[in-house]
Amino acid sequence: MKKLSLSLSLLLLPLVLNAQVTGTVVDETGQPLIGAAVRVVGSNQGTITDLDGMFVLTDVTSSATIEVSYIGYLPQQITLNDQRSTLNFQLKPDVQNLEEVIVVGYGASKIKDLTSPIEVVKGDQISSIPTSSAISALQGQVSGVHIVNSGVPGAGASVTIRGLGSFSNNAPLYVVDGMFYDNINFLNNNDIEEISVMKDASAAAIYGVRAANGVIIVTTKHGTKNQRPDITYDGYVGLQTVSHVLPMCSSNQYAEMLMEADPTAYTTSLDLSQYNYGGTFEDGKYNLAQNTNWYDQLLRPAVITNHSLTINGGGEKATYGIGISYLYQNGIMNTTNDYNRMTIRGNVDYTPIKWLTVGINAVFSNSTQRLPNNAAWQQAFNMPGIFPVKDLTTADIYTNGYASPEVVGLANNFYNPVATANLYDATNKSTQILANIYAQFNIWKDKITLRTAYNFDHTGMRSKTYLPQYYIGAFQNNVTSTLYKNQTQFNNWIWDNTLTYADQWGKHALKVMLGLSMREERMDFLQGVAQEVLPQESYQYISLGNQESQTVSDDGSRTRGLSYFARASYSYDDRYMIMATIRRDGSSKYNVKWGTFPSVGVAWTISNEPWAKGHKNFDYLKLRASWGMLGNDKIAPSVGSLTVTPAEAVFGGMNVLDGYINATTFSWLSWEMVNETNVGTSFGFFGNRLTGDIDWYYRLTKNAVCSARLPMQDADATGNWATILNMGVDANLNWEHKVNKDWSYFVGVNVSWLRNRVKSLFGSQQILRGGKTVQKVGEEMNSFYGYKVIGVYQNDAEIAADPIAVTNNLQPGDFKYEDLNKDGVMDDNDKQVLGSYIPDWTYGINMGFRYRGLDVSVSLSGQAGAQMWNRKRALRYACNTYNFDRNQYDSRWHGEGTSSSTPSAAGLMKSWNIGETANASYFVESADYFRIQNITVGYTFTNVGTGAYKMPSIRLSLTADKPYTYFKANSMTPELSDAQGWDTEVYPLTATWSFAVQLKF
Amino acid sequence: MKSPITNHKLHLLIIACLLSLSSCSYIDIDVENQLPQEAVDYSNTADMYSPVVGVYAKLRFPGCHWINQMLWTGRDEDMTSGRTDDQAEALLYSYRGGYQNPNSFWGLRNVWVTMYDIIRTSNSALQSLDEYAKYIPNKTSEDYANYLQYQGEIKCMRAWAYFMMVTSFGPCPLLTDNNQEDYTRSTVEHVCDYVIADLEASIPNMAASYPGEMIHPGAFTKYTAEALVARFAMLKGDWEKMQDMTADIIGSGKFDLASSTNDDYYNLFKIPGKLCRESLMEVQVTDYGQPSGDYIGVDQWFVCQGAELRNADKTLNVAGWKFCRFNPDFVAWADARGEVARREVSFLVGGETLRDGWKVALTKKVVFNAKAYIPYNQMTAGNTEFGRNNNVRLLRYAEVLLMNAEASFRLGNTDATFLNQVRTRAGLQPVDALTEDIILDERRMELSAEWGLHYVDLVRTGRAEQTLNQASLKRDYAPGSWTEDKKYWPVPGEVLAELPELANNPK
Repeated sequence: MKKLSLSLSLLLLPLVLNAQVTGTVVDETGQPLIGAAVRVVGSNQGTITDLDGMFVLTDVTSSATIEVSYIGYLPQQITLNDQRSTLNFQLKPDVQNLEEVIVVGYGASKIKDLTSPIEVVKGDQISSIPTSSAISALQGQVSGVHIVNSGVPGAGASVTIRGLGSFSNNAPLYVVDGMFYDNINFLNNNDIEEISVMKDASAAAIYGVRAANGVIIVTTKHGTKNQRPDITYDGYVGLQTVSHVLPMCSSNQYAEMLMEADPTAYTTSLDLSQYNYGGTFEDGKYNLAQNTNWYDQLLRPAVITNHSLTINGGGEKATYGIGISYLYQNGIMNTTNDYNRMTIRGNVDYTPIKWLTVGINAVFSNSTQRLPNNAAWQQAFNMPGIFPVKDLTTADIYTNGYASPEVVGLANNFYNPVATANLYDATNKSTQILANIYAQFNIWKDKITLRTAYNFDHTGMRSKTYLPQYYIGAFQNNVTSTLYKNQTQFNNWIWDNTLTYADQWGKHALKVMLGLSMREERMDFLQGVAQEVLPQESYQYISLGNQESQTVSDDGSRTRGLSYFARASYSYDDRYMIMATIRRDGSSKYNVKWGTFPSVGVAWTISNEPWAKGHKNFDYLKLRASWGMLGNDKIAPSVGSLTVTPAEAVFGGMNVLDGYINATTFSWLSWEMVNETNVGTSFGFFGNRLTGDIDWYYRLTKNAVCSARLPMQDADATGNWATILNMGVDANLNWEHKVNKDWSYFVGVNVSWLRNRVKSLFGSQQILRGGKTVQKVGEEMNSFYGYKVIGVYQNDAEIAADPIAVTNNLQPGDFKYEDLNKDGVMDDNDKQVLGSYIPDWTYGINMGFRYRGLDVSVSLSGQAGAQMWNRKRALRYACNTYNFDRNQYDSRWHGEGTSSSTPSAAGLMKSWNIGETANASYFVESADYFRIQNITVGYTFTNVGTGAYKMPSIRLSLTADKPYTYFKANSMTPELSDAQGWDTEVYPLTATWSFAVQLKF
Repeated sequence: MKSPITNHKLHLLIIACLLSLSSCSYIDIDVENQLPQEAVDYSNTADMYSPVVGVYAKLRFPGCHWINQMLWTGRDEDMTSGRTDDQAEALLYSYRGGYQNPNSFWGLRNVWVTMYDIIRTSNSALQSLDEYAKYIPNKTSEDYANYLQYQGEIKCMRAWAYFMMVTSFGPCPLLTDNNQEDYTRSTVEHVCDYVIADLEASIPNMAASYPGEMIHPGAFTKYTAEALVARFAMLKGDWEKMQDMTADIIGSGKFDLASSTNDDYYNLFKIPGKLCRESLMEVQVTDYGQPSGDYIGVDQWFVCQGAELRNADKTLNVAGWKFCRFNPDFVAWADARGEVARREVSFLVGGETLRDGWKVALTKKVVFNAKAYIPYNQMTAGNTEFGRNNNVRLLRYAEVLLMNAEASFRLGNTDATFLNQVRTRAGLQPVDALTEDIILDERRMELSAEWGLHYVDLVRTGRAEQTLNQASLKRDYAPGSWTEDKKYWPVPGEVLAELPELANNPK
C-alpha cells in the first residue's frame, strides 16, 4: 500500500485546476452514444452523456485522464492538456466483447483477461432456433465443438469437444448454475442466458476429474440490479419434414435384380406377389401391381411448437428472473412418437446487508417422451415393396389387418415395418428439479468474498415399455404381451465453498480463489416386469399381469467426491497475464482415490504494448499459451480386488471337488488422464471489423480405459492401458461492419481441423477387435476394418489370371480386393483400416445483414473426412432376398465395363462380396456433408402501440432450420446417433420450417 | 451495521466449519449393490487344493475342446477331419500339404488360446499355493508335503499344454509370469528344457503312486511327471533321459497294461476303464449318474468324433457329428498286420456290427475313432449323447513302454521286451529285435487318434514329407505339398495381430 500511495502522490503533484471540460461521445458511424459513462481516472468524478452524446465535467485538473465507457464498446482514455477543454470521443465497438464478464467456473473473468479459449454463446442466439435441446442449436456455431443431432423427438444431441479422447465416454461435463449434468435436455432454449464452452485444459482444469472431455457452463436467465421489468414472450410454431429419403428399388426393379441374380432360385415370392396382389409375368420380366414404398409409409410431416415467457428485473437490493416454457415436438415417424416438456424457473438474489448477498434459484422441468421403434427403419430398408401395408383379406389371421410378409413367401428375417412401428408402446417420463441456494459474504472492502452454495438435483425418470401380443407371421410375432416399468431416481448434490481475493493496484491486478467442494451422486433403480398385461393404458400395471411372470429387480449406486481447488490470476498493465489452477480431487469410485490436476496459462496482449499502440488497422492482438491436466471419471467404478471364479473337477467316479480359478490378470481401474497444451491468438484488425481466434491444441489421453481382449485369451479385461491423441486447430474469423445507423452486415467462418489417433493399446498390442469397429495403433479411433475393394472382375480372362479369383471360385461381377501383402491369398493379413466416423474437418459459415428493422441471417455448416458404415446394406449377409437401394440397382455390374464399384445382382448375394469376413470397403461411405444450417428472416418493430403504452419491440421471423443437406452416402442422413458410425435403425433428420414471434412488454 | 471485527469473527467461524466438515473419510464408502468379493483366506490350508482343482477344471475344458482334437489328430495321414461341408478349413491344416489360407481359421486360434489358458491358470494357481505355503512354517509337515505334491500336479498340466503347443506350433512363448509383456517365442529346444527342469524340480516331491490310488483319485503323480519329461526328452532326442524316466515308471510296478484276456482291454477307453492301472494322466468327467442336469464334462469332445450307431432292430440311435475319420487305408494296414483286439479298440468301421449288436452306419469307407466310443449299455440310462460321461485319456502306460523301447533302441539296445508287452496285449506275435520301423509302426497303431503323436513321430524322424505326400497322391487329392517348413502351424492370425513380436525369431 505504501508504494501505491507514493505513486498516487506523485501523480497529484502538478495540480492545476481547469474550470470545465466538455465533449461528445459518438459511435463508429458518428451517431451520438446516449448514457455513456464518463469519469476522471483516479478520482470519484464522473457523469453520463446526454441525448446528444454530450457531457460536461467541472473542476478537472489540467493533466487528468478522462475515460469513457459504454456497453458493447471498448473504453477510451484521453489525457487532457492545457490547450484542450473540448474532447471528442469516437468509441470502437467491442466486437470481441473484451470487457464482457463471463463465467469461468467458480467465478467470472473479463474476456480480455483470459489465457485460454472460452467461447460464449448468448441465449438470444438460440432462442428462436426450433430445436428441442439447446445444445443442438449450437451446431456449426462453435469451432472445436462437434454436434451430432438426432431426429428422435426430444432426443438431445451428442456433443464432443476437440475430438474423442476416451473409449468409454466422450460427453462433456455440463455445469448448470453450479450443478453437474450429463446433458441439458431438461432446459428450454429460452431459459438460457449464456453457454460458455471451455475448450482447453487450462480453463477446464478447475473441474478436475470431471473435465477431460471439456466443460460447458450454462447459466440460466437472471435479472440485473436497477433494471425495469423486462417481460418477453418468445414463441414459434413450425413444421418438420424429413430432410432426405433414400430411394429404394421398386417392386419391378427388385424383381429384375432377383431374376438377374438367378432366375430359378428367387421367383417364389415374386410369383406369390403376382398371385395375391396382381401383375404380369411376360418375357422373363415381372410387372407387379403391388409397389409399396415403405419409407413413405413410415413418414409424415410433424409439428413443433414452443412458447416461453420470461420476466427479469431488479431493484436496489434485489434482482429476480422467472420464466415458464412449453415445448411440443411431434415425430416424423408415422406413429405415436412425440415429446413435450414444461419448464418453470425462478431466481431471486437479495442483498439485505451490505456485506451479505443471498439467493435462491430453481428450475423445474417435466417432460414426456413417447418413443419410436427405430427397428422399423432398418426393416423398411430390407423389405421389398411386393406386398401392401394392410391386407384385409387376411385380417382374421394377422393382427390389426397388417399384411404379412409370409403371404408372399418372405418368412425369416422379414418384418412388416409399419406393424413394427405401430405395435410398440414406450414412454419416458422425466421430472427434474434443480435447486440452489447460496450466500455470499463480502468480508473485506469488496476485495475478499466468501461464497457458499448448495446445489441439488433430483431427477426422476419413469419409463414404460409395453410389447403387445400380436401375430404378423411365424417370424414376426409376440406370443405374450410384456410390460416393463422402470423407475430411476437420481439425487445429487454439490456443496461449493469459495474464498476469493481480488485486488488492483497501479498496473497490477491479482485474483486468488480458494475452494472446497463436496458432492454426492445417488442413483436408485427399480424395475418391474410382467406378462399378459392388457393393452389399455389404464390396465398397464405390473399387478394386473400374470402373477407367475411378475419379477422385480433393483440397483443403485452412490459416489462421493471431495475436492480442494485454487486459482490465481495476475495481470500486469493489461499486457501480461498468467493464470494457474490446481484441483485436488478425491473420488469414492476408485482404489486410487486422490488425483491432482494442475494447469497454467499465460497471455501477452501485444496490442497493449506502448510501441504497438496507434497503428492504424491494428487494434488488438493477444497471444495465449496454456497447459493443463484433466481427468475423466466417467468410467465404471472398479472393485479392484482379487477375483476368483468357482470351478469343479472330478476325482474318481462322481466325486466332485470345488475349487477356484484365480483371475489371471488384475484389474485396477482409475480415471483417464488428459494432458493438453493450447497455443492460440485472438486478434482484431481494421477497426475491429476483422476479428478472430486461432488455437492449436495437443491433447493426449493417457491411461485411457479400454476393454481389450487379452493377448492369447478369449477373456476381455478392462484397464487404463491406451493412449489417444487429439491434435487440431480451431479457428474463427469474423468480419462485422456497421456501415451506418441503418445498415450493417457480418460474415463469420469457423473451421476445426482434428487429427485423432490411437497411440498405443495394451502393451505392444497393435489392434483391438471385437466390436463394431477396431482400434488400431496409428489410426483413428473406431476404424472400420476389412478388405479394400479395388474393382470388379469384368470377364473370365481376368478371373483366370488371378489366383485369388480362381481359389475362391469367383465370377465376373464379383469384387476384386486389394491383396495388401501381395501373397496371392486373401486373408486376415489383407485387412486394412477403411475409415472412421470421426471427421477431420468441421466448419460453419454464418452471415447476415441488418437494414433498419429487417434482419437476415444464413448459416452453413458441414464436415469432411468422416466415413460411415452402411450397416443397412451390410446386413444383407443375413438374407439374400432383402430389397436393394436404388443406387445398388443403378450402378450394379451387369456385363463387362458396366461397373467397377458395385457387384452384379448375383454378387450382391454372395458372401465373398457382402460377408462379414470380408467387411468390404463397399460398405464404407463418406459421411461428409454440407448443410444449409439455418436461414432466418426477421423484422423488428420498435415502440409499437397506440396511446400511452408502447411496446418496446415486436419481432416476427421466419426460419428454415436445416432445410437442405448435401451428402453422398446412401443413407437417410449423414448424422448418425451411433457414435461409431453404424448406419442402421437411424431416425431421419428433419428440416423445420417455422414462424416465430418475440414480444417485449 | 455490525462492526467489522464481529463480522470477521463470523467469517472465520464459517471457514473453520467448512474445513472441519471436509474430512477425507467422507469418500471412503462401499460400492452399492455389490457384495464384497470373497477374499481368499490363505491361512486356511485345508482349502489349499482349491486352486489345483481350478487347473484340473481348465484342463478338462476348454483344454479338451472338440476343435483342438479335430485339428491335432487330423495332421497325420491316418486321420482326417472328415467333413468338407462344415469346418472345411480344418482340412487346410492337415497332412494334405499345409495351409493355403495361413492363419485365420478360428480353430487354430482356439488351440493356441486354450493351451495358454491352462498355462496361465497354472501360473496363478502356483502363486496361490505359495500364498498358502506362507502359513505352513513346518517344512516337514504333511501340509507342506501336500503343497509340494500339488505344485507337481499343476506343473504336469502346464507341461501337457506346452507339449501340445510345441508339437502344434513349434516355437512358442514361454509364459513364466502372467503379467509379462514380452511374448517373443522361445525355440522348441528352449521350451523343452524349461518344462523338463520345471518337472524335475517337483518329481522328488511327488507321490510315488499310480493316480487311481491317490487321495484325490486320478490326481497326477511322480510317474505322470516322469512320463511327461520322457515325452519332452523324446522331442529333444535326449534318449538317456527318456530311458531313465520310463524305466523308473516301469520299475515302480505301479502300472500295468489292461489285459486282453478279459474285457479290460476292450474297456480301456470306456467307462469301466476309467482310472485303470494303465492310466498315468486322465481328464475325468461325471454326469452324476443322471441323464440330464449337471454334467462335469468335456463339451463336444466325444460328440464331434462320434459315429452314427443303430441298435439291431433299428429302434435306437446314437449319433455324433462324424468329424475325425480314419482313412480306410489305415484300417487295411492294420488288418494286414493282423490286428484284431486292437482293431476293435481303435476303429468303428462303417457297416460293421459291434460287440453289443449295434451297427455302425454308413459304409466301410467311413471309419471312426473307437477310443471315443462307449457302448449303449455303458451309457447313463436315458441319455444318448455320444461318449457322454467318459474320461479323456491323456497318457497311458503303453506309451511309456514304447518310449522306453525307443530310448533303448536309440542307445543301441535292441531288446524288445517292453515293446512286446504292448504287442502281446494286442494279440500279436512278439518281435525278436527292435528296429526303428517296428517301433514307429507299433506307436502308429497303439497310439492312433491320440494327440497327433503319429504326426509328431513322422516329423521328428524326418519321415513326414515322403509319407504325407505319398498318402496325398494316393488318395487322389491335390499333389502333396507338405514341406518341412510346414511341420508347424503358423501363429494364428488374430493372435499375431495382437502381438506382432510373435513374428520375431524365437529366442
